[in-house]
Amino acid sequence: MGLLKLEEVEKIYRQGEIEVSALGGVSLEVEQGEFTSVAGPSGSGKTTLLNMVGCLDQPTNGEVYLEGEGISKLDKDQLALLRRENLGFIFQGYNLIPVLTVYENIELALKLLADRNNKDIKEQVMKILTAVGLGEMADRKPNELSGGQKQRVAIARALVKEPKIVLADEPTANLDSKTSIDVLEVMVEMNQKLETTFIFSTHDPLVMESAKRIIKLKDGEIIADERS
Amino acid sequence: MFLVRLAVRNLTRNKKRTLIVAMIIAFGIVFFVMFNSLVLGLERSYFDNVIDFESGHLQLVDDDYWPRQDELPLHNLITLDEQLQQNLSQVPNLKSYSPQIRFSANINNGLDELPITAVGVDGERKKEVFKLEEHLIAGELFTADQSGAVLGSSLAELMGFELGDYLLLVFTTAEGVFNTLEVEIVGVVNTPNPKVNDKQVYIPYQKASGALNTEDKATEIVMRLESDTSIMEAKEFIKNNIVAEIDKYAVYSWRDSAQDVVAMTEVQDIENRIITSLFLLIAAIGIINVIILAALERIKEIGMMKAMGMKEWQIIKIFMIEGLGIGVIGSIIGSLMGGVGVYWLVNYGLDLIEPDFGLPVVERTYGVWNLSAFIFVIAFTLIVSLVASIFPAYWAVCKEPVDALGGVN
Ligand SMILES: Nc1ncnc2c1ncn2[C@@H]1O[C@H](COP(=O)(O)OP(=O)(O)OP(=O)(O)O)[C@@H](O)[C@H]1O
Ligand SMILES: [Mg+2]
Repeated sequence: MGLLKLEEVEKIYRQGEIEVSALGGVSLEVEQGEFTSVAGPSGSGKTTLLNMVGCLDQPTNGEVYLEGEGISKLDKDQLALLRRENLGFIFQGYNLIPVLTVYENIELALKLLADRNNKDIKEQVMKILTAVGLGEMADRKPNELSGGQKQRVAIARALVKEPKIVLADEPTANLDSKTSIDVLEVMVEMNQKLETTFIFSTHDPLVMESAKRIIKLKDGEIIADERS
Repeated sequence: MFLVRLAVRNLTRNKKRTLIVAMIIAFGIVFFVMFNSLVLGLERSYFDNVIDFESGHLQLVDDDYWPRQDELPLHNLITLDEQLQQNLSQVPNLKSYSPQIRFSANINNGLDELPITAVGVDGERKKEVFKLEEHLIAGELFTADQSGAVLGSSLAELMGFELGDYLLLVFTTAEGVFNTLEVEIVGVVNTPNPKVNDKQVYIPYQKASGALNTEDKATEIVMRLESDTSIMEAKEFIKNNIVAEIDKYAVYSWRDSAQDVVAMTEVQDIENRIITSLFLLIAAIGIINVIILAALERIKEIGMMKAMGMKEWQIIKIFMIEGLGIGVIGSIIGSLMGGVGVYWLVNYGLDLIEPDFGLPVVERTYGVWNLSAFIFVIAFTLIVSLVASIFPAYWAVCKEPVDALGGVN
């Protein structure tokens, strides 16, 4: 059994009387170490798909399996634990905590995990910061960083606990194209070094091309799934 | 620990907002401790006035006299015989006692007449029990074998009396016969107790007894103890050893004679509590407000924290620590400022002008230190700030992580 498997996943949003089908029966398998992009026009269901994979939301129908375990039977706290240990997130808006330093923002991810002593935490945080090229900026506050630097902090935060999957919803949407490529290179490098599985959504054809696998969505259906 | 550090940092995000709410809380605390100090001070001066000028610590009276004492009757009196003197000398912690005879009379200056309360006292003993001597503004207290009268300053002024003048008292004796007494004024007192100043005239006990035909009997025997902490003990002793033998006697403490004043202070206590609750309500609203605003501002961060696998109660805990933090800052500022305020009240006092309240106080009112008021209000503030932050935090955290992330797509 693969790392991640979606089986006929449907998601219907209800807004009063109106029902919007955001995903219409998506099946999909992702193997350990894959670097996958999810592409598609606005409203095609990219975010919805990533939310399902990220256990942030439950499907209306169908099932998501993580290492063979279905998630629909888990409650809120169990899902939180599952995310804590297995999943890393990178968001378009970075979502760093402004009152914490770069170092502390990354540290937060490790502090949530039990049984780590401060020395190990420090070592791990500095290692990942150096890896994303921000070793010198550990004591800065997020508002003293550029957009690209902030997103690299977010990548470091997602990666520091060495999760099985990192999910990134349009990680480069707020960045110019040169910075986008930089950030993407960091992600590719991490994928190769740590064998972390990446799944990210994007509009940008340039970004899309750097992925080894491209899943194309349209109106909540997979219309193409190509590996290069 | 990490959550605490995060919560404390969060308080610095919007320093102005944190400080405003903390200041509201601080002012509530300042108000409470100062009000409490003043009320206790006022209470103490009421009580001191009653003890020092009206009732002493304890009174021995005839049980039938007590309920009708306001009419100042001249029957059901009490005799200070050898046996009673002997018994009184056994009372623990008794500093002094003095028989007195109170009766209603009219005071006459040759032109006008005014109704007053005349008190026949033993000058020597009297000054042991009451604080008249300290408040003499002219002349002196009479001694046992002297003749003379001491009266309140307002009364003296009203009647145009000066030291050395003769005043005429008009009254009825125990048998209901009219009688008069002419006495030289030897002293004028100005006490903090308006009752004494406005309508009391003291004359020697023997002279009063003779004129009233009361055969050396007293309306009451007033007693002063070494300290007011031994009142209950002394009262018990008198009950068991004196009242038990002479059944028609009864012993009352100053509290029994100052029922209306005690009731008054209870009303003030309720007022104090109502005002405090209002302030704490405002503090609670302030904190709820801050937490709601903070939660709204941080809705994406909350979503991110949940995505990272933080549990709901951990996030609620952060907000609760923030609320508590505001309470702590408010408490520190409030107790420092409140301490300064109470210090000022204790040392400099306040001129409370309450002419028509009928309370036995005319002097400046001084505050009293009351540590328990500080402890109470701080504990209450901290509890309120914790509780007030739970609900808005719970509300913010209960949103689904995707809702909270909102703009990720
Ligand atoms: N919370 C929601 N309530 C109702 N409808 C929703 C909700 N979230 C998404 N949708 C709808 O589901 C569909 C898929 O939305 P989704 O956000 O997954 O698209 P997307 O591919 O991420 O788009 P974009 O490129 O603009 O981010 C859209 O039609 C959208 O309007
Ligand atoms: Mg989207």
